[in-house]
Order: sequence, then structure tokens, then C-alpha cells
Amino acid sequence: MKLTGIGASEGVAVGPAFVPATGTPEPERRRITQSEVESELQRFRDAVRAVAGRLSETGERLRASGSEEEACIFEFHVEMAEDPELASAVEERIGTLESPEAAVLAVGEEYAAELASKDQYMAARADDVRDVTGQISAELMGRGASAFKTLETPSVVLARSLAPSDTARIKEGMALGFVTAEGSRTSHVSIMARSMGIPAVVGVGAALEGALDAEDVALDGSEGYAIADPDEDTVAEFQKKSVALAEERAVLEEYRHVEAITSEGRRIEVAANLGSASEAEDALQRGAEGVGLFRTEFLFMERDDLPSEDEQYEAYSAVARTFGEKPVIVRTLDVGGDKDLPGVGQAHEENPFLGWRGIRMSLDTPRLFKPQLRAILRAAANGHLKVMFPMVADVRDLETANAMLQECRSELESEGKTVGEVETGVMIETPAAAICAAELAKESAFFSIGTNDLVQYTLAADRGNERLRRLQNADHPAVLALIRQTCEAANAAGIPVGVCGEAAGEPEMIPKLIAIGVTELSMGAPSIPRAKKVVSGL
Amino acid sequence: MAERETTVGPEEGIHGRPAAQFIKAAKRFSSQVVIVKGDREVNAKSVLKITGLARKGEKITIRAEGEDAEQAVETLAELISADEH
Repeated sequence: MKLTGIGASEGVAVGPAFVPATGTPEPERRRITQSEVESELQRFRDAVRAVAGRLSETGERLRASGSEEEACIFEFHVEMAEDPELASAVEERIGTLESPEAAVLAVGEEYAAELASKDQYMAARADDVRDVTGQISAELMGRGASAFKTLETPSVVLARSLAPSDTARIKEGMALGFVTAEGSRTSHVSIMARSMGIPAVVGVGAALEGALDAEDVALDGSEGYAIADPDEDTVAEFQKKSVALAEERAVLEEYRHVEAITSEGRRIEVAANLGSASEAEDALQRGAEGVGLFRTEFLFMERDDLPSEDEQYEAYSAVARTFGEKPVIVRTLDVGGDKDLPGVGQAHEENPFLGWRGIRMSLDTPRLFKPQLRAILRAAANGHLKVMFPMVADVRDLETANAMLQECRSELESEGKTVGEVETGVMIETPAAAICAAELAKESAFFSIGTNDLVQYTLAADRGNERLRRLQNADHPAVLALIRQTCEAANAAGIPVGVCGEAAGEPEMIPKLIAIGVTELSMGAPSIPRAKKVVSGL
Repeated sequence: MAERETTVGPEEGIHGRPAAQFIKAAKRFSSQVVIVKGDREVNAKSVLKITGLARKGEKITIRAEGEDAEQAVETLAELISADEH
């Protein structure tokens, strides 16, 4: 049985299922007598003190072990437990002869309902209130101990919801994974799971009920699903995934922040390809030493108008700031007949990949190109940006583009706007550009080889055609010859040359690319640590 | 009585960590302190009351009554308007 939810903490796990005794037990005693009021008020205050003490102890322990984020959750919970408004509301109810264990739950529910009605983030805080008031209630009923006491073999924990106090009380190593019916990526269970490195799938909903008596559970916290009572094949598949992931993590930890240097002492810059501004932070975390290809198409997609210069400026600046001194190569717009841009006047084309696209369209459409160049020039003041032109076929393309960039710079300067230094380079992706590399190098500050398109154009093999698999590979003598020619031209001119196609992240291609003179590799961020490892082993 | 108007600084508004720190600071003053937002007035020493009360950029007023009222509004207004805690 498959349970689909939200992947809240990556990783996979397989193991026996553990279902903790559900939440807060219902108070048996709802009413008290007048003569008990004083002693019950005292019991309530003692319970608050005990719970707050335990919470702050856990917080201190987490802080001491370096889990600052989680320590803060507990600090927040201590304040909730000791809340004066909570206390006075509960004490008032005790005064009307309600039992303290019932009163604290009722008041907690009131606050929780109010928070839950606000927004998704506050709904997660509502769970905090229920958690804390539930603990006080349990303390009053003499059941302050954990529902996880019996968890003594490493297991996958299945629960409707999990409170931070629950996750903190699980003995180390006993939780292989979490599957919850409720929750979102911002729930504490998700935050805790991520910080503990335990895979979690949250928000599987009512489907969880059907899985509660499962013997075993497999879960994939990256994809966001779990399987109750998996068959042998599934278990084997998950174990395989688990091993691969553990290996990947070890590589990540070891290599993400090392410099990639070959045994001959050649330093290879390993950078990330970004498809949108929001990917920048993650790429940096994974050890990117820069951005070798920042695609700008995302700004133009799924909308009916063109993005303004200011909007583009914000997006480019965000990435520039994230990377600071590290270089970020912004590639100007590369769309073709497959994307209809308003006011640009594309015509239907028989062969969009051989059509009016990339720099060809940009040069013909100043109202499209100039705002982008202006935004890049302005954003360059906030970091280290470079600009790269796609689909260049000859020196004239490059000269015209450089002239337009210069024109934009002059205009901005006369408008009194702040602009930064921007080097310009060519994306080598047409065979023509590779063949003319020596000429192009005279007008460029760098080259970046887009192997995906270079392969398709060199071998005349459509990237999307399943039957041409054999010819969709950069490891082909014709492609390698063009890459070599490009590298020789770059080296002769003293400019760096990178590869930003898929080949840059392929362990079997990296040695070949470096051997023929590539100095920079740019790839999807998850491949970075592995690429550094490969380079370091050369 | 002392009061001061200020703008909420933390990205995520008043809750979680900023809320806990604010409460801790508020409890150090003997004065009664309230936060006023629009027509709502809540106990500034109650994390449950202040959580989710205001978002980043919204205006709130901190009002205190008691011996250390002046100092309380000054400290707390500064704390809540800072964007890092």
C-alpha cells in the first residue's frame, strides 16, 4: 500500500513500523469539588513548572550539541508553558470546578484554533500549543512519560502527528524515519527530521490509518512517499537507494568545500548551473565555486508580458549577492519558436533548433535585449557577474552583442545609474563557433562550451529523438575534436574555458575534458561534490 | 505610562524565536506591558497572545505602565523592530 505525502526530509529508510500510543490521553476526571480548588491550583502550577523545566533542559541539551534551531523551538515552548494568559485562563476554569487536566486542554485548544485559522505557518504553531498543553495535561494525570518508551529497535515511526517533544524523546538511532498524516515542510517534525538527518514523509492524510498495523514500512523522504508492508523487490530497491544515498552524502560531506585540484596541480573550478534565482543558496551549500550558467529563461516563462528591467535586476542581484565574490555567468535569453514572446513577432518555424533563437533573436529585438543587458550591468554592482551570449555563430554576432552592451552601459552612465564591471563571453554550442574559436577568443573574456547543443548540432542528432541515443553523447571523436579546438584557441588567447553541458558532471567525461584543456566545469548542483572528487583523483 | 510606535522587523513577523526572545525581555520589567495593533491590545508577556499578532513591516504600539515603563517601551520597541535576533 502506497502512502503519498510531502517529502519533508530527504533520504530513504526501510524497517519495522512503530506506532506510538496516540497523543494526549483524555482526562477521566472532568470536575472537581469546591474544597479541592486550592490544591488543584497548586497541582496545576507544579505541573507547569515540571513541564517547563523538562522543556528547557531538552533545549539546553540541543543547544550544547549544536542544534541551535531546535533549541529555539524548545525555548519557544518553555515560554508557552509558562504563559501568564494561559495560566490565568486555566486557573479561572479551575475556579469554576473544572479539573486542571481538562481545563488546560480546553484552553490550549482555544488558542490552537485561533492560530490555525490564520495561515499555514501559524497552523504549524497551533500544533505547538497542543503539544505543550497536552504535556501539562499528561503531567497532571501522572502520565508525563513518553509514548516512545517501548521504542527499542530501530523503526519507522508512524503517527498522526509528531510533536517536537516526541521527536526529542526518541532514543538516538531508534528512529529510521517518520511518516505522519499531518504536517507540512515547515512543521517542527520536518525541521527536526532534517536537522537529525532522518528521512520523513509528512501529510499523507487519512491513508495513514490503513497503514497503522503494517509490519514494515519503506519510505522515500526525497520523493515524498511511503510503502506499507513492501514486497521483497521494493525492499531491495529501497536498500539500494539507501546505500547510494549514504555514499552520496559521504562524498558531499567530504568534498563539498574542497578545491578541486588534479595530482598535476591543475586547479579546476567547479560551478553550478542555475535554472532560477531561487536555486542559488542550495548550490552554494553544495560547494559551488561560482555559477557557470545562470539561465534567464525562467523570468520569461509562464506569463503574458515581458519582465521589466527592474524585475530582472532584482533576480540577477539576488544571485550576485548570494555568491558574493564568486563569479556568476548570466546567459542572455535563449528561447526559440517554441516559446511565444509578446510583441517579439516570432513566426512558426520548421526547425526551431536551427531557427531564430538565442542571440539571433536578441540582436534583432532591442526591446527584448536591452532591458536584459541593462539589468545585468546594474546588478553587476552587487557582486561578480559576467554575461554570456548563446547561439553565437560568428564574430559578427559577438561584435554586435558587445556593441549593444556598450551602448547600454553608456546610457546607464548618462542616466547616473550605478553599473558594475561585466566581462563578456561566448557560449560555444554551434560547431561554427568552435571552428571560429580563435577569432572569437580575441573579443571574449571567456568561453563556455554548451555540450548538449554542440553534440546535437555537430552530430545532426535531435536531442529528443529516442532512436538516436548513440549519437547523443559528448564522448564522440567529432565533438571532442571541436572541444579540443576551442580549448586550444582559448589557451592561446589566455582566456578560461568551461563546460556547462551535462558532460561536465559525468564522472567518465570529466577526465577527458580536463585532459583536452577545460579549466572549469559547471553542472547541476547535486553533481558538484562528486565532480570535485573525480578531479581530485586525477 | 509610556508608549512607542514601531514597525515589526523580523522576516517572519512575531513568533517562534523572535517571540520567545521578546517575551524573555518583557518579563524582566515589572511594568504591565501591552502591544496594541489596530483595535487589539494584548499582554506583551504572553507568547500565545503575541504570536502571529503582526507581520514584518506592520505598525504596532508598545505601551507600559509601572515603575520601569519608559525603559520597557524603549527596550522592547528596539527589540521588535530589529530584523535579526
